[in-house]
Amino acid sequence: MSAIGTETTLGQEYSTAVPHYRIEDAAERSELDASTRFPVLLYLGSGLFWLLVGTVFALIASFKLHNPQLFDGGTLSWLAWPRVRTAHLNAVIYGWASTAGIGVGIWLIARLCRTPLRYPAIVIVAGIFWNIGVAIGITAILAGQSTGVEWLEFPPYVAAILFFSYILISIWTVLMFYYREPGHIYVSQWYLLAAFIWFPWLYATTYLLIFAYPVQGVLQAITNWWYGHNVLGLWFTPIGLASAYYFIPKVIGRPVYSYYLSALGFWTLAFFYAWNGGHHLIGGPIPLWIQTVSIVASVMMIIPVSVVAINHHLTMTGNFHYLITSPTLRFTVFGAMSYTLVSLQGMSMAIPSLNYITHFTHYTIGHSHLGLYSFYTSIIFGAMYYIVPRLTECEWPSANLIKLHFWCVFYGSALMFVCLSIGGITQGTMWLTKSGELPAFQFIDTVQSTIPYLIGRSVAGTILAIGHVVFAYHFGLMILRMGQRTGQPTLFIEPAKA
Amino acid sequence: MKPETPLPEKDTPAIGVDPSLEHHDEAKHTYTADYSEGIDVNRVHGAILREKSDPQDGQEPIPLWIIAICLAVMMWGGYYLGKNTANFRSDVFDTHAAQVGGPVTTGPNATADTKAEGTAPASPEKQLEDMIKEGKSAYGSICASCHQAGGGGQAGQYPPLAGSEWVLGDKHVLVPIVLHGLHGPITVAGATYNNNMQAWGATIKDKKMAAILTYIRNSWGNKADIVTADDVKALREHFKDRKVQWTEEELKALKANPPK
Amino acid sequence: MNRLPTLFLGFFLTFLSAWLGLILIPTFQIGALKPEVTEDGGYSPPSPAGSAIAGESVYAANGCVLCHTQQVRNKIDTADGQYGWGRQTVARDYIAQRRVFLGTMRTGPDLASTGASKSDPAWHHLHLYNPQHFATGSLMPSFRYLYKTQKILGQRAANALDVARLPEADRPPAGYEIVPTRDAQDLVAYLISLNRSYSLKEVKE
Repeated sequence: MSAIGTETTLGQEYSTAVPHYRIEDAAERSELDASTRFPVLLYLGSGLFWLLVGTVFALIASFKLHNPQLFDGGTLSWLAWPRVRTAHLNAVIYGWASTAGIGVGIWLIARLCRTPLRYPAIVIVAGIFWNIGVAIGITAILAGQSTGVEWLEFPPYVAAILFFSYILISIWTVLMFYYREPGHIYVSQWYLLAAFIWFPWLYATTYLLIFAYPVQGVLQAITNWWYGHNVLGLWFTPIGLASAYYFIPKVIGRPVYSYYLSALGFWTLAFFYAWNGGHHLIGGPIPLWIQTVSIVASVMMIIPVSVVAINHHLTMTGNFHYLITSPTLRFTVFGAMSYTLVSLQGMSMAIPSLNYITHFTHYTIGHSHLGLYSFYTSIIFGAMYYIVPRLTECEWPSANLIKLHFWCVFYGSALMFVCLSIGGITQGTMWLTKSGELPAFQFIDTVQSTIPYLIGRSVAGTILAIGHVVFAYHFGLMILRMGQRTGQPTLFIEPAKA
Repeated sequence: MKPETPLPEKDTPAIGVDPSLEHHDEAKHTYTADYSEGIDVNRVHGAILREKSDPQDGQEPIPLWIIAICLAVMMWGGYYLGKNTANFRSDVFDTHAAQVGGPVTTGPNATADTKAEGTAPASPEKQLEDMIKEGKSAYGSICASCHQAGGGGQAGQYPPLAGSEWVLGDKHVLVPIVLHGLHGPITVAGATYNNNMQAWGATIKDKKMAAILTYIRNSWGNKADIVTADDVKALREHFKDRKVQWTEEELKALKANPPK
Repeated sequence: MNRLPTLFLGFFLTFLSAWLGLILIPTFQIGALKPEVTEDGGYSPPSPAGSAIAGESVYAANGCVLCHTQQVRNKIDTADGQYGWGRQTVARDYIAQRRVFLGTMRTGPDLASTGASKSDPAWHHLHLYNPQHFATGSLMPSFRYLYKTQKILGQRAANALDVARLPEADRPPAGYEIVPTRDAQDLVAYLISLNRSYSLKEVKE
């Protein structure tokens, strides 16, 4: 964008001799950010609250798994391992990941549609009901009202509250796009529009088919995993990729490598991802053709995943030095690389010969954390490091706290992934090991063999928890306007002066 | 008309009071007029000012080798779909059934036609073979979860059957154990177990029980004579009034003095 | 791709295609399966009795599906046949259940046919009360909150746990008994109802 010369806007005339930006853009962005301040901080703040809640549940569940007598020894129903583990899952999926993702999405949509946030009441009401729904749902789970359907454990009356919020957000999204600045729709906008429209459909359909008019038998399981995988593929992945597609080129100041790759990646993701669901049921009591179709779709994901990876990589080439300084970029790129890794891993897990080893083991849990934590949560953290200073009008007070947060995220998630992967493969291969015609190990031995890795996972979880507490504290300082009053960003290290 | 005041530089002091910025100068058209919060513009908008412009799309074409990979993967997909969907049948659940074109047994009797009832009596060897096959299958679904597929039991919980003196001994003692169950301490192959085995007489019919017992008496190194359905029937009749589980004492008495 | 209608159409069609392929078509194919009728007029799979149906909700609410699967895979590619979990399960095995808990983790063994080999309610109650005592090395949490310790009034309750089989530390004081609550009884009835001893023509045994 040429920035030389003078232009008039807002009744003023400004010199535009400075490269990289135009004053009008800055003025416009300032207005957009101001309009998104309360709603976005509401979503980010409440999301962070649920992250802490989910982390507490995670630690309790993790330690109780390798030490079943811990704490209450089974006397307290609300502290029972299955309920705590379910509360963890729902707190981090619906409480943290969805909420913070919507917050980041709102900010991105306002920025990219280049219109101030319209009808803020809609998103604020949606946010309040969302939090109420999650709070009631978590309480219901601990009280013993879980539905027992994985990823859909909230009772139907809570689902109705969440669905109401989702619909409001969908409507708001369409309105924002209706009022957008005419012109090019950027790739991040495709992903966000898609995610915010797909999800209510998905949620409503699934609740209808499993709870309201239940389908027969194993169809419930197929519907369950069509839903479960689509939460990842049509809700979280698009939000994460939208964020990566915005912040990577934004921070380094270069265009995305190829529009055509972006388009190819988007539509192949939209088409193939939704067919993956059956790969959760490989070998199971569902017709082989459904398993096969999902296996093929899972392998076809190599197209969108490698396309996105190449697009990002070629955008970054020559600019990797920004990773040394920028927190936003570092978290985002760590997330984007994790996306490639987790997707390739997922594809391999769908191939039957590997599936026979990893299915039903902790390997799957390692995979899900690689995806939802190393990929999605890291990208959201990166986005928050960028967005929050713009909304609170001050900079992060401590580079050291950011560094601590990043390394907790990096080492904690890496340790968790390694421990659960090795534990899972050990478990799976022990099941398959034969001594002559008979199994070489009793089932209980395979359970015992996972214990060291479960302990490792507890250690990893503790590291991640430290990171979360640090970040929440840091975020709290910003909200209380105790950040630094400066025009300089808080970077890992100060860039060398020319 | 160009403003004379230059744009604030990046390293202007932070919280501040730069009077010239706050001052509303009509002639100079400084832009603080629009954002007159009376505070340092540089701090308030520092983050926004230093931003680079929003992302743009580059126009590079899709590299040819990516297209090649897409096509290769799609070809593999087509091949895999053709091979492993079994014509989209709803009653085929695994690739082995798909290969033979329809449902197939995957139990231990996968290749045998095991309808033993109602057929003419076969040779003793065939009879034994059939019984063991049936027994193995039933053992797998009923007994193995405690006594394990290899007959090894579980240390401290369930006694082994391989090398067990009770299994290899008199069938007039073995059959009642299975009919009525067992509780209290019992020594098997030198180790003591103190658990509870439920009565199976009501759930397992004579023929199946005979098959299971014949199987366990002839597997994992065990070798003993077969148990017939008639044997089970007779013992069931003999003990028809018994309602409680056996104890080791009673079994020892039974061993010393077997019925009939 | 700068026009909203094009984008909407694209979103709709891609979403619809997977819904058609994974949900709608399978519903036509296996959405109304019928049980087989056995020689004595019963059904395979059999319909569960009342208490077992109530037990489905207890199983759900207490998250048993998080550690236990209820699906046995084929015995050629997997070792599922080696642990005494019964035969391979197929779609028709689940048509009599209101809620299906196929499961995705085996921290504990598969339960598709647990009632075939563990059909003694007393064992189930004791195991739920203290899993480690009845399955050495188990990581299963105790579900003793599903039981209550109460004073023996007159006669021992018929379904009271046989405390002699529990370790010392778990036994109630003299004059007290441990009784399963309604939930525990329903849960055990459900577990015992899980039994795939019948055969189906898709999987001959």
